[in-house]
Amino acid sequence: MTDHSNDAQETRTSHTPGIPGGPMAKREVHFIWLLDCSGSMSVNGKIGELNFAIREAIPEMQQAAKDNAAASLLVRAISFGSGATWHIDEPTPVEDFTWRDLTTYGGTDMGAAFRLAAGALETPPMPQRAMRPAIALVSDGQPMDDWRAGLRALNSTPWGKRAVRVAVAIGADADKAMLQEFLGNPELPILEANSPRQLAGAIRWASTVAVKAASSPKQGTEQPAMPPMMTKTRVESDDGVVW
Amino acid sequence: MSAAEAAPGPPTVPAGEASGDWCVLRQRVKGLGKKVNQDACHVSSPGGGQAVVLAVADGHGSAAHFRSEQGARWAVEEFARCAGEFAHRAIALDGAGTGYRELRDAARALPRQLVGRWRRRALLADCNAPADGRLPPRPEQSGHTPAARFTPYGSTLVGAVVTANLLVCWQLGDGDVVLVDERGTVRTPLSTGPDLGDETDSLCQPEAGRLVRLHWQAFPGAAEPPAVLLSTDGLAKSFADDAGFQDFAKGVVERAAEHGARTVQEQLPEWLGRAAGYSGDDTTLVAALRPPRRRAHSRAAGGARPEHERNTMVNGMLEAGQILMAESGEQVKVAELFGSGGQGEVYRVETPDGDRALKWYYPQLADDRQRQILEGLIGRGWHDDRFLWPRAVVLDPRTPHEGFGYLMEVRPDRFRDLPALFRRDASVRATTQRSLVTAALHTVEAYRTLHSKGIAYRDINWGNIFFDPATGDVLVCDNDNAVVEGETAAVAGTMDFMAPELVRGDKGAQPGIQSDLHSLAVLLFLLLVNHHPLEGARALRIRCMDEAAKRQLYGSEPVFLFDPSRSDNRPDPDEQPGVLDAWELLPEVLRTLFVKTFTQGLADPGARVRETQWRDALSTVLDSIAPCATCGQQNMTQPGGRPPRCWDCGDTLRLPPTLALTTGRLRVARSVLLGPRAKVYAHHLADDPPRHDFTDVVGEVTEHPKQPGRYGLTNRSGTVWTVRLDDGTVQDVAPGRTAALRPGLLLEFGGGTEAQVRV
Repeated sequence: MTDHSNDAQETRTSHTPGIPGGPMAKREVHFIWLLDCSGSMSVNGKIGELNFAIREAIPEMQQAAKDNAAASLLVRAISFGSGATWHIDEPTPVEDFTWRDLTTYGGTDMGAAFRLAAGALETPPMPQRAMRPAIALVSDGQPMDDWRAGLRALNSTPWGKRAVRVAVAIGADADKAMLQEFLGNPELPILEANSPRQLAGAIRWASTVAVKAASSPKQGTEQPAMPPMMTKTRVESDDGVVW
Repeated sequence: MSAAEAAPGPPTVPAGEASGDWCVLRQRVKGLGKKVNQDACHVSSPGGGQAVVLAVADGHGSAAHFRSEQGARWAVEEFARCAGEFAHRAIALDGAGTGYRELRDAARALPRQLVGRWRRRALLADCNAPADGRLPPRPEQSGHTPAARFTPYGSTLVGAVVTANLLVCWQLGDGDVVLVDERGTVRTPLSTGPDLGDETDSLCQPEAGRLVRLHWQAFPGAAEPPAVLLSTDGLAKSFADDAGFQDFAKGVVERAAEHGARTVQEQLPEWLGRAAGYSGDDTTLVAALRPPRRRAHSRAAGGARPEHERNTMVNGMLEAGQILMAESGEQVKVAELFGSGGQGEVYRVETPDGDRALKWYYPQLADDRQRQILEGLIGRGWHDDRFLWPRAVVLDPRTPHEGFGYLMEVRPDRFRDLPALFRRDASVRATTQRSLVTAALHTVEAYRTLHSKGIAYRDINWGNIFFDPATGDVLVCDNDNAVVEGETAAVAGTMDFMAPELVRGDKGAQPGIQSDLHSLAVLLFLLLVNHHPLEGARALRIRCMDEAAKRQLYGSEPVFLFDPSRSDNRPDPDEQPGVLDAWELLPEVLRTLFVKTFTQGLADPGARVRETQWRDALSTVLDSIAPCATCGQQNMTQPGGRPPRCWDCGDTLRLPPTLALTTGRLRVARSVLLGPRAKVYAHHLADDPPRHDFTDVVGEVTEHPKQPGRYGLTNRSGTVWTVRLDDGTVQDVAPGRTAALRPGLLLEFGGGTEAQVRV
């Protein structure tokens, strides 16, 4: 009973007193960053560039969310180094989202990160109804743990297998074949970031892809048009198994 | 020899030192043979060094301004106080990217604030020690202070606030603001051209606040703020020409980058001393150097960045300050990134005709076909204030074959986006039932205008219509996909708005005028019901709303929420109660059209409701909006129908009399509710009005000036009306006169158009 009256009140306190009704109903869009914090990310200030790029992307992310009245964008982040941990574990409404800088810690335990994400993409904790979630993976190296098992765990969750996926490879050492496998679709490009400019562009695009995909898939593509400043790579398949 | 000295003033930053993210320079040198240095300056860095406040002032110094060294000192001190507050606001905004409009208003208000504070200070000092030697009346006794009282203290003022994301400069009178960007490009944004003698604007003039020039520059994305140098006119005057002065400024910045700010600061007394020797004038320079952003971040990350990467900007395809060329010949200078969309990015740019918006396409979309469409649209020269139409193709002169964009007008602030309305955001709180229906009507008429010329818009969605919450005026943006019916364009549409045959990808289905009609109906439903017309119970059964789900809801199995023949997609009363309420509030005349277009029209594009039908229905509804006598809220009513209950307070409405109109030639019938302040417009009297113009008022319901509660229809037109009374007598109603409203009254508006008042 009490809950009901609260709901009614909330509708009443809409910011537009001159027209009936409250805000449009929304579905949640869950966005999860998976960010590489391995030791190699501290070389040449890459981790600083990544922190910078994510901060830069926040206003864009907020604008993209505002442009879609039917979606509410919730953001979280997992970091992985030696093991994986929730860097920001509360699904945070993007309008309240602020970034705490990442620091590096050891290896590249990407599998652990996948398993952590998989736990978050079960129902519950996911709501009964939502838009497609999005997972953005950023890495500069080779996974050092059993990443395939982690990826299988992610792919076996109801929301994980439906997630929009984006992969950003920082520098030449990133394991692109592995990233392609994460994307799960040989048609989807990996965004290659070989300079801070490319990284910022890639992060900016990656951060808005989910909410833009939820509102405006145009031109028959599954994802919005990609901005130009980044390199896209596709991993070529081998000529055959036996030769 | 001129004497160099450190400037006195409020707590400031040690010159030559790095303060937070910035290095600052500061030097004041007395002119050759002068007794007192009449310049003053200030440098501080509020917010822990995230911003720098700079100011220089030049007391006029001539006989009439014999206390101007005091005036100059107050000028920089009071500016420092105003600008300090402003800087804190600017820092609070940085990174958030919102609230710039309020900040810009604050920047515009600062001059008045500054002048007020400076005058109070001058007056206080002058009361204690009158400059004219007489004992003056106390200021509160005289009420008004003659401007001449301030003359002895006359001074100029040049000030600036710079943060990582924003630079604002203010200038009153002479002096110089010089900006040097990372590539060494020098700009003098507030320069008014060659000096025209010794006359200068001054703080001691009447209305001095209005004479202040303002420069506002935001740095989109990772564009770096330039080095900012402020100087009194003594410095520029010591050079033979502007070029020499600008080279000097550039040299200061380059040397600081190379040898450090401390070294430059050590040399400044000598450099300025030499300048003061040439000009004979007091000479002052303050500067903020080395924008902080990436260096600060690299520092935090513990690594250095290769030098060559410092100059790249990371956000956006175009760089602030970049010069582009419109095909019409004028120069276009990139100022800031407004935002990005599915096809490209939109920037604010400066042109000789003022600020414009520039849409710049992503390279993969900047193809010949798009170029051809654009040129067609530009060639058409659409002059309609409801559209932000492409005005000129813009190219980068360095790479004229790679990429292009187009110029359009900047969207005025009063227009708000529809998602803000759907969110019931505070920014659209002025919206009323009347302005909402008016916006719907204008939207329909705008697309009708396009369609009537054979042009399909192809991408009607909530992102490309903007509306004024107060008036319901609309602005249609993103017109660059509009093409003549039958031609192809890059865009297929936005899924939620696309016609089912396009969502399904039916063979031969092309976006065109008939599919526009579906998108338009979706948009109207969203406006009036605040919900998607096809997302009811069936959508609630979908857990993950992905492309496949949307294809089913909008394409393969679309079912209208209120399809009379099936109820399996009705809104869920528990989860979607607002949708049911909003539908109940819609007048029958609109419900009928929605049902038609979302049942028959889903399957048969030819059966979709046309703009003219929407226009007529919305116009009728608009004429039937009545205020609630209890709470004052506006309510839509069914024309000629029973009075509904007020949506807000629930009381049954008491409907005012109706003016039943019949036009002269085609005998079109219209009825207008004559509530207090209701208006009759020119479009009411026309057979087939080309558009609804709510500024063209011909009559207005007014209250009798002496008999409250008695209402009449006042003639606001330029022609004489005639009234016929029950007894057959006829009377003229001249412009400005009022005919009392009583049942049965017959009015003739001229041209055969007549009306009767009915209760």
